[in-house]
Amino acid sequence: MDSSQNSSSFSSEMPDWAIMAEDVLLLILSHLLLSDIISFGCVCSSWYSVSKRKLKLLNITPKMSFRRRAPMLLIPTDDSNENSRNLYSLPKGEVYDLKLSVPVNSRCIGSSHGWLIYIDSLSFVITLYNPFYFGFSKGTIKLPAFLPAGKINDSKMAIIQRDFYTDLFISKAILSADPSSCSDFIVMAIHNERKGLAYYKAGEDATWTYVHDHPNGSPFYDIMYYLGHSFVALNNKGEAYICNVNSNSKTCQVMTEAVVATLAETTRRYIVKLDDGSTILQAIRMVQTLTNPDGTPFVDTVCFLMYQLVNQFQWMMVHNIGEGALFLGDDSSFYVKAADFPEVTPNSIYFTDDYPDGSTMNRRLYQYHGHHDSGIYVIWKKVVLYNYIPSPEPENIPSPLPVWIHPTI
Amino acid sequence: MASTSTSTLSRKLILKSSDGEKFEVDENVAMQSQTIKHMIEDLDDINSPIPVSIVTGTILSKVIEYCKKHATEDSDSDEQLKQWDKEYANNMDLNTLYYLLLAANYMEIKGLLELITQCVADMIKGKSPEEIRAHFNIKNDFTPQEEANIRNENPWAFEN
Repeated sequence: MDSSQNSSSFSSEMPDWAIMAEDVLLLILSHLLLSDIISFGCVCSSWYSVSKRKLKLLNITPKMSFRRRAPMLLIPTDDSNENSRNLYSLPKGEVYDLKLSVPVNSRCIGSSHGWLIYIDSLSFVITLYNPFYFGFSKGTIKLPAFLPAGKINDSKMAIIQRDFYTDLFISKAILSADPSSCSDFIVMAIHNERKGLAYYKAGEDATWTYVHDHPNGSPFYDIMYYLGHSFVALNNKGEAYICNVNSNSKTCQVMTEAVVATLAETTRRYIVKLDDGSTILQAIRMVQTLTNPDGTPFVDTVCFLMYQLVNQFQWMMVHNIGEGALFLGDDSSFYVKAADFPEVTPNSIYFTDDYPDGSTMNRRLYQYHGHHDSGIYVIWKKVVLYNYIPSPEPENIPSPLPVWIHPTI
Repeated sequence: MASTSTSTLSRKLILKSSDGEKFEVDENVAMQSQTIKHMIEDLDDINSPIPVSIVTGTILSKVIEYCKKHATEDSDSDEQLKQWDKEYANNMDLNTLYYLLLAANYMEIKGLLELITQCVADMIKGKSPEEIRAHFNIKNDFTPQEEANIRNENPWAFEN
């Protein structure tokens, strides 16, 4: 212990942290995540006014609700802090320097109803996380262990190639409803190397239910919640399957025909339902592989092909999705009505990098060269507008993908 | 205005604390303080003590310790310097941190200010308002009504 400070004349009395210089307190706040800034402001009245000033600098006004905002992107912060993210709002190009905290050492496998779904890279524990809850308990929901994970977890390979394995276990997960307002939500996941389905019913089941692979089935690319406790999953041929989880069913049934994509390379297919709750769209992402000046490959989105489900079985190509916009990416695929959000361009697709074609090399391209295959595809013009996402600094370092989030609180 | 020195040897300056303690330091050590840098520019007699009026000798000696470490170039790698900074900050008690913050702010020493604010921020991280109050010995001066209003302002922060 330092005993000498007592001899200091202006430390003759206990220092009062409440009246520390405002400039200094603001500097302290610059090291803190939003949740801590809120807690800081609740300490005393002088710290409260400093926190208010900080929040004003961050463009956060009291009673600010994120709910009325168009989907935003969670992007890495400039300081490359692994567990903090900023919000990026379209198309004003505004970055909200919120430093929202997210779990460390975890891969985001889904963004649904304002919640992020994370899988821990080592334990394979799956956690629902809402970055807008600034308390530590309410914003985190732990799900039961995913059974097959235990086996691989014993393997040393899991540590060596953990991204590969977490991706193998669950490549994507979605929620049927917002867990903030609904306790009996259902989580549906695409899992294992065959990209099959598994689901968990909160408040009802103690474990995951693993859906048997369909005899003629192919790997699933995307899933969505449909009507009456059923989920629709889309495979790599463009066939949709329906899985009703009401009776803890372990099967899924073919619902539609396939859609063969003939042009260029296909990477990804997405399935979304429109706001009427019944119209289903399939989007096929067409890409080309180009080469950087240094010889490394990168993937570039050329266009999206759009199909609408008609006659309950057939896919019909469409060139117009009306007043809506799709938000597509590695972790999510959803539709919003542009009229609800003036900043959203109707009849367009907002997309981010996404290459889950089974090859780990391709899967992780973004990690080596930053993310750059993001843009807005304007459907009626058939053009891609690029580069609306700020590049991570510095470039060329492993960087988490931007994740779409549609806050509900 | 200060005369231009072509000497490669560093000049000595004398810093005088609020309680009269004098410290002889190399110019390049003292110049890490923007405040002192500006004071020297306006100083006619470089040999007269430079008053650091709000910083006590105890605190000033710690400030100089930091500046000396950061004035010597190339002797340490970035990693070693970071480690030194960490130990330096960890050895301070809360009261010392308080006065170091005031001193670094007044003397405009960017690196030190950054280091100590980070150290204090780490003490706040993850704590509830009650825990922060206890740690820093701060009195809750909100009326129940005010406290209710604050909760109302950030409903998402307080749902339970």
